[in-house]
Amino acid sequence: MKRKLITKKDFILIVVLALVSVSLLVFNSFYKKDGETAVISVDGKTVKVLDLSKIDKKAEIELENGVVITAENGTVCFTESDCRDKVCIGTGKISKAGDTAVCVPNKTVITVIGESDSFDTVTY
Amino acid sequence: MGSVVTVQPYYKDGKSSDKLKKEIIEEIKRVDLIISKNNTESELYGINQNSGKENKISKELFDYIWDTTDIYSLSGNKLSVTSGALTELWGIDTEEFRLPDDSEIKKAIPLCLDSNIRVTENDLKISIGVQEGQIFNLGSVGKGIACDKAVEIIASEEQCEGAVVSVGGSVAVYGTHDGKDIWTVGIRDPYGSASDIFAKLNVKNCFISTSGNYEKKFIIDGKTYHHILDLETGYPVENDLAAVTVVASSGLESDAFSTMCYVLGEEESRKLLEMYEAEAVFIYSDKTVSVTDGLKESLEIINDDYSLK
Repeated sequence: MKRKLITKKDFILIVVLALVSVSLLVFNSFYKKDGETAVISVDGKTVKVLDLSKIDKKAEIELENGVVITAENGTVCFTESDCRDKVCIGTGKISKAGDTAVCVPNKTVITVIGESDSFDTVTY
Repeated sequence: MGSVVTVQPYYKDGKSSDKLKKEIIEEIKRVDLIISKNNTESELYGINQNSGKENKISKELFDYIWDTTDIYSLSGNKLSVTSGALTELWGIDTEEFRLPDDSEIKKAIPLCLDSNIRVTENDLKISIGVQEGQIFNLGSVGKGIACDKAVEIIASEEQCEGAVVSVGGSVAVYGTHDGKDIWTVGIRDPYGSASDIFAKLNVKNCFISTSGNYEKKFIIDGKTYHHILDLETGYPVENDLAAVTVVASSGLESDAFSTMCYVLGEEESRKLLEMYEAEAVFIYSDKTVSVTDGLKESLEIINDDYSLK
C-alpha cells in the first residue's frame, strides 16, 4: 500500500500545533504584563536593580565583569560581552515579567520581575 | 559600601521628587565614610590602622560600636564588633576567599574578643583602644545602619507619607503608601535565584534583615564554605539553617540579630529576640520554616516546597 507523506490527520495535527504556538506568542506579547524591574545578578548575587518604568533615556550599565547591559523604553538587553557565542546579545530586548536573558560564560543573568503590587521590596 | 541602594518614597500629593533620594544617597555615603572597614578614607579604617593604641573616636561611630556590642555580647564570644582578624584571614571582607591554617585561626580567635575594648571618656571626648592586631568590623550592621539613616531623613520630609528602602537586602518600611500602612516584603528563596522569593511578610513601620549561607560562599577541595563565622571556633557556622530573617525596630538591630540568630540557632535566639522585642523567621535547609509568635499572622508562604514546622 502506498502511504501518503502527510495524512489528513497529520495535517490537522500540524494546523492545531501551529495555532497553539501562534496563540501562545500572541498571548505572551499581549497578556504577559510589562515588567517594572530588571534584576541583574552575577554569580547568583544581585549587582544592580533597574526600575524599567523610570528609565526614559537610554541607559548603559557596564558591570565589573565587562558585560554591558542597555536599558531603554521599558526594555533591557545585553549589548556587549566578551563571551564567544554571544547568545546573550542574541536574546535581544526583554521587557515582560518573567523574561530572562542569560550570559552563561560570564554568569550574568537579567530577570524582569513583575508588577510591584505583589510585593514592595525583597530582603536577602 | 558596595551595596545596591533603592528608595521608593510616596508623597501626599502624589508628586515625586529625586531630592529625597539624592539626600539619602549622600547620607549613606557620609555614614560609609565613618563605618567602612575597607574604605581607606573612613574613620574606622584610621582607627584600625592604629590598632593597639588609644584613638579619639566620634560620638557617632562610638554609638554604632556600642549598640552593636550590646547585642553581640548576648552571644557569648560567638559574635563581636572586632571580628576583623578572622574575617580578614578568611578573605571575607574583600571576597577573596581562602582557607586559613588551623594555627592561623587559633592565633586570630583571641583578637576577636570585645572584652578587650578599652573606652576612656574625658570632657565628653571619647577614646577607644583594643589589643594590637585587633580590628573593628561593622560589616554585619552597616546596611542596617544605612537603613536607619534613610528613615531619619524620610521622617523629616513633611511631604513624604512613607517609603520603602533597601540597602543590599536590608529593608526599612516606613509610614504609609496610598493611605495603607501595611507593606509587603518578599523573603528571598535561599535555594532559588536572586529574584525568587518563597514567602511574603506583611508588616508596618519596621526594619527587616536576612542572613543566610547563600550570600557569599566559596568552594575549596569540594567543600563549600560560607561567610558567617562562629568567632569562638573561628570557622563558618555549620548548622541546619539556610537563612534567618529578623524584624526589629531599628536597622542596626535587625542586621545584628539576623547574623546572631543564624549563628546561635533558633532555641537560643528566641530568648534574646524577646529581650529586644524583635521577631524572626527561621528557614531550615529541609525547607521547613519556623516563625516567632509576633509574625505568625504576617508571614505568607508562597512557594509550596516550603512548609511551617
